[in-house]
Amino acid sequence: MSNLEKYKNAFVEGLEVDLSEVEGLSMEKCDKWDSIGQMSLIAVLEDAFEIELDPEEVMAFTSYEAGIEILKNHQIDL
Amino acid sequence: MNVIITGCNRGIGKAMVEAFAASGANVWACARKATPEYESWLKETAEETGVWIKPVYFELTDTEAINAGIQIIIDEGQSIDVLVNNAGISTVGLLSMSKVEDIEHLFAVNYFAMLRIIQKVSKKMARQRKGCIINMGSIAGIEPQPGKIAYGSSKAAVMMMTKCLAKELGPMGIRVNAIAPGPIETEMIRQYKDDMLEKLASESALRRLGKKEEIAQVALFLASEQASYINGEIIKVDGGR
Repeated sequence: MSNLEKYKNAFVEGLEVDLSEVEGLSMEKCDKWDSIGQMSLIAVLEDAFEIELDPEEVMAFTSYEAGIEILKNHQIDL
Repeated sequence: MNVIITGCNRGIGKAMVEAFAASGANVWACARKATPEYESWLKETAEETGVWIKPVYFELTDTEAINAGIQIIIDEGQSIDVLVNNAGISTVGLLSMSKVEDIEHLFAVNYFAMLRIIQKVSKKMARQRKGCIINMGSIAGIEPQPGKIAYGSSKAAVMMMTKCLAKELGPMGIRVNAIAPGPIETEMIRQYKDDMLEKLASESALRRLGKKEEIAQVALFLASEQASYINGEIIKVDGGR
């Protein structure tokens, strides 16, 4: 599975959204992406990429695009 | 069931290892440092009960060590069903005779180390969509007493943390509860003189100190399916005060 697929699947699993909705998703646009959804999404992502995000990164992870930039800090290119 | 227990080398933690192992649970038994006695006791307990018990060592005032110790457990890739945050230290001292630095140290061990462990383990439990966290509070965090400003305040903080986390983590299937023991016959309480121990015993309606096994059994219950709808509770175990 490619990194991009792993990334998208994390949204599907963590936020329980459809794969077709994932690109461009943000906290503002997604009702399921509340603080609980955020924790679930981060947990799945950390597991998938074997990384640990620090609290500042978790707070900044508010959209699909923001997440891509944050993963770059961990040498993960999508 | 796989269980992490901290502070396993003595007192209530030791009783918890024995109780959980006897119930068939596998245990990551966390302690500050390895000793031959501790390791042989873990081995014997595992052999007697037919479960695995793995020692994990970290110092609760060392952030890096805590992270590394918990990571070892997470990296095993097994489910973590229960976390029992038992490790703690106790002091008695009036504020006028206490150094704030010592109180900070006590909070580092009793509160912040616990918070750090929960932060890491709860992520794993969130992925599992299931988990149970049991924090060791104290009656000292409920009943104000002179000399208990440090210990009592740290345990009050633990119990409020428990209630807040129960709300935060509940939606992910993680239950968070605390046990608030009264005076229990442990090494920790031996710092008191005999007349004080008698006074403590007399404050209980049962007119005795508690046994560490009586706390371990409550933890076992909270971890069980029988307690599946108990969340955010502080269970006082004090013989009735």
